[in-house]
Amino acid sequence: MSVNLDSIVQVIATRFKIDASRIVPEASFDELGLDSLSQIELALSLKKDLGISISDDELAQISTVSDIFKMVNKVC
Amino acid sequence: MLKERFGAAITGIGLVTPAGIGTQANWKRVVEGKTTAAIDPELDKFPVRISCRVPEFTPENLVANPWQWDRFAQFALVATLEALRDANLEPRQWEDDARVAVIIGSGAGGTATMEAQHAALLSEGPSGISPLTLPMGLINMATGQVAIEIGARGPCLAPCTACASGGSAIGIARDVLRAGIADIVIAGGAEAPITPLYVSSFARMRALSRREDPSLASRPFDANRDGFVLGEGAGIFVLETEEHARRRNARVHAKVLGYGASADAHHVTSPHPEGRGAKIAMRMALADAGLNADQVGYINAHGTSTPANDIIESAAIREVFGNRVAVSSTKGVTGHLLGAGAAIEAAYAALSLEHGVIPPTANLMNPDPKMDIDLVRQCAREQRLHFALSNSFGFGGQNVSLLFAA
Repeated sequence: MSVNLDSIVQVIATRFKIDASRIVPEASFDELGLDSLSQIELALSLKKDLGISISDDELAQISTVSDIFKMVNKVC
Repeated sequence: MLKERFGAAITGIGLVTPAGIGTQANWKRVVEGKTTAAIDPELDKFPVRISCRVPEFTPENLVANPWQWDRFAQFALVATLEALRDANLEPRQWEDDARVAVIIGSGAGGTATMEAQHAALLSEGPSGISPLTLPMGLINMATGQVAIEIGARGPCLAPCTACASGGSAIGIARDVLRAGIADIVIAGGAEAPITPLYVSSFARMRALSRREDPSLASRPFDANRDGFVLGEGAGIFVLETEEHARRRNARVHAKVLGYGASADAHHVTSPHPEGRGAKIAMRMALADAGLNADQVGYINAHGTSTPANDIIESAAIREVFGNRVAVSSTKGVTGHLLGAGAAIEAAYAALSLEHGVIPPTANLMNPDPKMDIDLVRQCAREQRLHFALSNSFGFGGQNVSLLFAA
């Protein structure tokens, strides 16, 4: 599946009421104020809004907005 | 019981209620005696559509990361920050953070969160619910999140006695100070119960007013009362030992001088027909404060506007205090904030002492002729007061009376 970065940014901005201009690709979850529970919440929002499934193991390995983009769009 | 009389100084007040955000807005509205009840568009599909909402509450401007906080905890934080400003105290800048306690009661806790997540569980299964369900939904989270936010590391608890919860919190806070366990306590109640489950449950019990005109729905002690109107909000005190308040030259609004707590041991919702628990609580508060009944000038009654509470409470007041003490219920203005009600009414009682003004009971047009007490109605009464009492009674038959000194 293919999901563009903007729609990921939009989900984060809406769910966590963060100004979209702060959600740059290299922004880490820490920098955005998303603790471990909030990251699970983020995975839930991505699934509901964009149909993206991120397992708990995958979630443990990513730490930035661009990590989500890369993981979702990887071809192999 | 500890025999020594001990007053806790109220050095800060924070109020977020249907009467407004901030103590000034609140006091103006309750003294005017203008009701806040209105048709609630969110209750369109419910048997009762009247509520008392906090006006213009925009958490995104008041709380960092509001999405991590249930509405009841947001109310608690905003009221706490106002109370700290009023007390001239800076969050996180404590002399000794282990000596700052937070005791905020609630009856319903984060019920909006729990209800929404339960719906998600039913529709999407276990993986569909938010990991923030419990951190937002638990009843102790207003107190827990406030303690985190202000960096308070003393005792932290959330008393639950239904509609008396905020009163229990203030009473226990006074005792925590008296016991020497803390120097400062952030104490009060918070509630956000205008939710599908709570509105429906109260409606099924026939506890809510079904009057056509919302502006006349909450009418404590009126012969034509037919139930209460659900409200929301938070009331928070900064309480200190008098010595601690003196040492930092804090302005003192009033003092918490007496705390009475009791159980009806009778029925889960109906008050004891002779008001036994209520009388025990009021007499206990008097004894604790070392006062005679005739020294109390004003009672802010529980006065819910339900047929049963108001008749039994008025008879209990008549028996303990006679008919010379002035009585009013500010629920005519604010509606019933459940666990937060006791705390905001404690604040109104304290403000009555400070200003020498007794707020009227809104909508009290035809006092129930069976009540032989001095009900303040129509307009506020100016009266120099030394002592005031505030009553709160919860489901389960749990009663709290707080006595305040000027």
